[in-house]
Amino acid sequence: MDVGEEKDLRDSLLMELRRGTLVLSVLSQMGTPKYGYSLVQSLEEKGVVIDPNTLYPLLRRLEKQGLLKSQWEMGGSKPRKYYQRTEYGSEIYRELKGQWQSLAAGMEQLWKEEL
Amino acid sequence: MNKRDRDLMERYIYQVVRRLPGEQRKEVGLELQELIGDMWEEAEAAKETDTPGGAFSMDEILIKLGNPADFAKKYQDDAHYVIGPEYFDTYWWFMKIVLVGVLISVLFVGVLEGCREVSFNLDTPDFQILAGVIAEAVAGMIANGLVSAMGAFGAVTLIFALLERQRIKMDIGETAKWTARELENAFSGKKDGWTPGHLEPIPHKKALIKRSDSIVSIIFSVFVCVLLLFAPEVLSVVSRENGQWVSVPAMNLAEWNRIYPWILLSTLFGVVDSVIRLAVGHYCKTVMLSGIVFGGILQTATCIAAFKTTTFLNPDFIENCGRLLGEVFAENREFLAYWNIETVTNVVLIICLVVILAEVAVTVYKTLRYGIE
Repeated sequence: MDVGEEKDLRDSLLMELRRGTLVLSVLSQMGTPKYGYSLVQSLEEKGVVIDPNTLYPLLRRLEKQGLLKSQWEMGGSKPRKYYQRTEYGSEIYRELKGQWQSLAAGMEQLWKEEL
Repeated sequence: MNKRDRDLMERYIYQVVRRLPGEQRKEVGLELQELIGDMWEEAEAAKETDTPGGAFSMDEILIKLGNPADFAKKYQDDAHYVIGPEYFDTYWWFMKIVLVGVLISVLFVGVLEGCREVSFNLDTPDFQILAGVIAEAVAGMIANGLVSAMGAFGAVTLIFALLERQRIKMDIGETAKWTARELENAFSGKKDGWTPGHLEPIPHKKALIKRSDSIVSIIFSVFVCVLLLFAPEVLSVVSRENGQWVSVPAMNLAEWNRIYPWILLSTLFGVVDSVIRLAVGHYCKTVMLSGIVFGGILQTATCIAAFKTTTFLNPDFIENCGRLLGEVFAENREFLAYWNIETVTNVVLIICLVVILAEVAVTVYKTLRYGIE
């Protein structure tokens, strides 16, 4: 495997690993209304990097699935679309969080055994 | 934001939204305007405070957002296929067989037509006329080949595309609304509502429909269709009259423009039936239903319509043959006296219907015997 292929493989594995955490990361931040770019920034501050070109389509998808709701605010300097978790979204978020915790505990166990 | 930057932003937004469904365009356009505006404001602020690592110009912002085509792709929830992976292999195989069938038929018809034309002109000593006849035959063959190949390609693709849409509809119908309860199952790999009891039994060996079995029937259908479309005149009685070659066609060429749409339609129904058989792969209710509807009812209706609304066979065939064949005709006068255009048409129609119904009967028998557990 040459250097380019190795890098591609590494990138695609990393992307796959991160993809699964994105929905959970986004849902975690949506208890209060947020607009797209503020979400990019707040996630970035917490060490979760997400490209805007991934986040915006994801927000629309989650809205379509009924996990988020949105509202346009026209009052400011420019129109902004604010997203917030729906009740159903909060329910799903709690479920996902529980699954994540048990998954993380399982992974921790696996790494302990590895040592 | 200066004019150039605004122009770049608008171009970028246009390139994303033009790839999206109409109802999404306006809102996504506004969202992107908001996003790029926010990134631009952030870049301006970073410029003032000299923050390293930020995107500072509109160019850099748009580069960070990436190719608009890729951005638009992320807005599309599902992969869109004309022919999806499930059918693609069968589609490609079927397409190759049909195109090979078209190639063989066009070559055969072209050579036959060419020989016929050349033999009619053999008495002509002029080489130039002969060369012209040959060139015309070759050009006709190429033109027929292109028209048939494009028609076959379009028809086969359309049939598979409709099948694909139908499959997606069925899949959607089968998928229950996603609930939070499924979350647990998703992690454990289970799927609600599905148990091993849903596993269909492996089809009986004799219920399997092999691709190899279909090759001959597909090529034969394409061959008959191409022959009747492009060279119905080869089905003729040929003889010499007054030193000239004369042919009496068995088909009613004067009415052929009204007849050949029926032939096309009948072939199309046959192809739809073959495609469904191959896509499903074994005799079952779906294949039986397809056989009854496409192979049976529709083909029967097409045949009856073709034979009853048009005069399929040449009404002057016997009269012209009598004039052309003279003595031979006279020797068989007793036999040929029974040759009445209506009777012959009915006999040919009955033969066609028997063949159609026999195929339906085989499908129904195999399905009931081996295909339904």
